[in-house]
Amino acid sequence: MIFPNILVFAIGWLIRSHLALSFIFLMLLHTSCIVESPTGVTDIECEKMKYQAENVVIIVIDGPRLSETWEHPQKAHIPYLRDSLSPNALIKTEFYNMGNTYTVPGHISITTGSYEFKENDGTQYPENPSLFQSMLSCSGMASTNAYLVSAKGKLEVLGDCESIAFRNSFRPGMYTRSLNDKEVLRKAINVLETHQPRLLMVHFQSPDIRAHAKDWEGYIKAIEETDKLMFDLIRYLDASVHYSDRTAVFMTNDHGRHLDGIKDGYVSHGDHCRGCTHINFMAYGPDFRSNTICDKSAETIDILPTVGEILGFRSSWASGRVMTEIFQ
Amino acid sequence: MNKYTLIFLLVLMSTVMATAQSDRGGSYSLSQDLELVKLKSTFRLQSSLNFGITRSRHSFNSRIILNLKTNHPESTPSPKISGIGVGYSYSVPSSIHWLSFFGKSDLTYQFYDNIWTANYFSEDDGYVSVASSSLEHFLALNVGYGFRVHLWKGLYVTHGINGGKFISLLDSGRNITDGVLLNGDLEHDFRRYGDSGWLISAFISAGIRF
Repeated sequence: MIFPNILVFAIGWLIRSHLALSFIFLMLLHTSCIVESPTGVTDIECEKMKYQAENVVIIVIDGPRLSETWEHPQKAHIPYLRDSLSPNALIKTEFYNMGNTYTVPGHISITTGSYEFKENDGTQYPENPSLFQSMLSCSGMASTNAYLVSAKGKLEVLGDCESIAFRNSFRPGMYTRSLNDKEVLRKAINVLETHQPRLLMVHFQSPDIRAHAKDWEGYIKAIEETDKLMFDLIRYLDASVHYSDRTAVFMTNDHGRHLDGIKDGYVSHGDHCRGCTHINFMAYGPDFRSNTICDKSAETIDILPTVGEILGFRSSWASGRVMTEIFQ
Repeated sequence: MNKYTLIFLLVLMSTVMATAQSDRGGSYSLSQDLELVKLKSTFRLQSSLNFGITRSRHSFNSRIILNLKTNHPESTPSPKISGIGVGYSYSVPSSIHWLSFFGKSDLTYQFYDNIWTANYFSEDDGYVSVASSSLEHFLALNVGYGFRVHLWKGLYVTHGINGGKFISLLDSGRNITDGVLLNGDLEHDFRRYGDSGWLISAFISAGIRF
């Protein structure tokens, strides 16, 4: 009599286990559908442009720590930002990438206004449309009016997305090849002269490259070099008939790096330590406050809504906010 | 060989097998199932019409698969036949007469005709919409287990879980927009699960044995 009872008990246990497994499966499925919310709601609202700035240039410097840039006691490695740019710009001291602190996801948070956990090797498009696609969709301008110039080929994924409504559409002009930062600047100026894009993103990579190579002196030198290149680009814009007084410039980073004492320090990045998440932000242009240090917290996902505010689009998928505090 | 030829061959094969089994005292079954398949960042909801033959504890079945819904951008606009499958299962009877357990394995082949929409900029016409189609071949080998509740006479319901490996191949696509050439670098591959990987699925089915 005991054996059949054990058998019935075992069968009951098997059924319960099975149903529990099924339940876990369905929950996993449900969760994945929420997290990877598919390519659906991509409503965009187009508005009239209402600011003096009619163009936007976003400069992304790849991976310097705040401790070697704006938080350095003498700001010794960013003399152009310290002396020439900041008196005419707004600097945010509490600016963060609270998503994945790697290059591709960091850039995706800037271009889509949403944190997406994508691979860092350039094999996955963002879920959501970019600010390039948003601007082109609303303006109807030729694709060369939005342009990306980058030294890292993997950033080509920033030009498209998986959204059914936007994929393969409204793709910007792109130049994403292995270049050194001086060549990136040359190419960016060439694009500005040739196409006069309304929206340009420029990516300088050398601080990240030198730091990963465990080359401290090279890392510092790269920060100094990109500081100068950024200044040269803004100087070009100020001297340009087309862009002068009609261009908003943002400068930020895709991520920082580990602070000293955390893992291998400045060499790596990728977690949510303060060194990796806390990054630079500068806003320079006719509609922004100048000579201002702002400590109101903001994030990389706030850049797309702010660019949209200037260029006349509102993207439903963006989870950031318009940084109203940077405007005059 | 087009998909209708494949389906015809499958039905023919099943009929031949069933006839052979029937001569030796087997039974037939017909069932409809609903299956949720989870791949990397993608799920698919599909339904299958199964035709099976059973002899002793061994069952062989063939099925026609209908793709109902997927969250992936290749999502077909309406449910349609997406493939075929063959399977084997081994039943383990329990001491409860209305319940049995089974282990199973199946091989499925599916084809998804994906539509890719896009636009490109023309100096004369602004943004011009274009579309292309590409065919995805999806081969999966699963093993799983489940239980079957025998309701009344030959009627039964089953529930089970599968897991397995898949291979996916995507062709280069064809322009389906009349009179408009596609720009050369149109991206066709938005599959999030790549060329191969693992999948899991859960299914329920209802059927009749005769």
